[in-house]
Amino acid sequence: MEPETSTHHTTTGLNHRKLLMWAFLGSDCMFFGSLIATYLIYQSRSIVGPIPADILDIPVTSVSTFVLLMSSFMMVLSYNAIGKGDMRRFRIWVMGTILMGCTFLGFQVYEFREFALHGLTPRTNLFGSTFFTLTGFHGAHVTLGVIWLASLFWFSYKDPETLKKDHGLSVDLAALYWHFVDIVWIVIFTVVYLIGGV
Amino acid sequence: MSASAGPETNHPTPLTYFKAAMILVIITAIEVGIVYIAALESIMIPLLIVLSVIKFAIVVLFYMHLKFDHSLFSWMFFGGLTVALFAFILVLTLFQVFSSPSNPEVVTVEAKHGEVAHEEEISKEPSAEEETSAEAVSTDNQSTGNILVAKGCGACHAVTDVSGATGVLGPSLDGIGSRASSRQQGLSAEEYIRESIESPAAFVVEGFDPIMPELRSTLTDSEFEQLVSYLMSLN
Repeated sequence: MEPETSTHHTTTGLNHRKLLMWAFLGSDCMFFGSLIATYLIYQSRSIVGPIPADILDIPVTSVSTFVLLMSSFMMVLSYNAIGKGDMRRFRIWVMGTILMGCTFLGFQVYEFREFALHGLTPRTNLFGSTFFTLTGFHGAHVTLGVIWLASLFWFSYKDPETLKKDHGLSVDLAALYWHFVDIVWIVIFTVVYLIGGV
Repeated sequence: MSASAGPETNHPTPLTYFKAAMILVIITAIEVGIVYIAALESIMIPLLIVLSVIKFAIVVLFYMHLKFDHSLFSWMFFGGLTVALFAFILVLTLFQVFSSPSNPEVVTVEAKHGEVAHEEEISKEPSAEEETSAEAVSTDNQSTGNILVAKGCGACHAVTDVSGATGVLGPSLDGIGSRASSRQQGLSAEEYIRESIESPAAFVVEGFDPIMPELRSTLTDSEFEQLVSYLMSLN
């Protein structure tokens, strides 16, 4: 059976699915750019507290950032494994990525709950509204990524040969999405927590 | 020409990925450390931005393979990123984020559920400059409603004739001067308005959430009297 893409000829010579993924990631930059800009504009215009310096927990968020960075490392190893056709290692690394992603989401749930207990909800003030919108949308991206990776893990048992096609293109696309979620968090961590939290 | 996902054979080895991961962790540790070093406070923001950009670049170039893949992928991504950055800087400049002080009007009140309420919302103690301008405004231009805007009430309350008072979280203040006397039995219009500012939880207008904080303590006596006087004039 021939690889899927060899039957499709494109004017660029590049796989359209991968090109589309990069176009999507480029547009998602605009989406998160607008959310971060909105946060920066309004986080300092609340007329009641809590304000960022009162409530943001840098040590805890540093740990969750470390977890997400390591998940990216595992993701790239899983992509490397599928490229070599090593399905066992692929499953190990992709499961590691899923668990790391779930751990990050756990940190986010913990943070949101702590904030609510300290009186910060999306309705409290402008900081709360923009903070929860920004980090909530990022969390939604992570959640979608976890579901995507879980489906790949399941597919690795159902139809491993299809997953290996085109040097693991399906995994490559999921990996690009996952790494994008990681770089968005790199920006959020710096702008919202490190600069805004002190 | 057959389509390909990219030159995967040029992709880095697991050892390179590991090195990249270690660099990312070390940079993150440095970033967190910088925040707690007082001596670096003056250069903290540019330093953190540079380190963040380095981390961003490592992930994009190595983990996402842009360094090794076809340049069209880079154009797709960096095209979007450039537009996003341009719009980002433009919007922040328009809203004067780079020049405005942080949280100029914040009152550090724990906004617990159901804790605060009522009709008139006041912001924090003014700076000397604000105080001077507020006094000048209130003495001569009470009828313009500028004090209402200067004190932040307009963020939650609307007054038709005041351009900066368009909020909808609290009830409209149009006609409050004549309406106030019928709000609570036994309270005159002036007493009701004073109570609304001093103890906003005492009475909450039906249909609105109890979200107004107690901010009387943040006003000087003269500001408080000016505000009451102005609200009484809204007939």
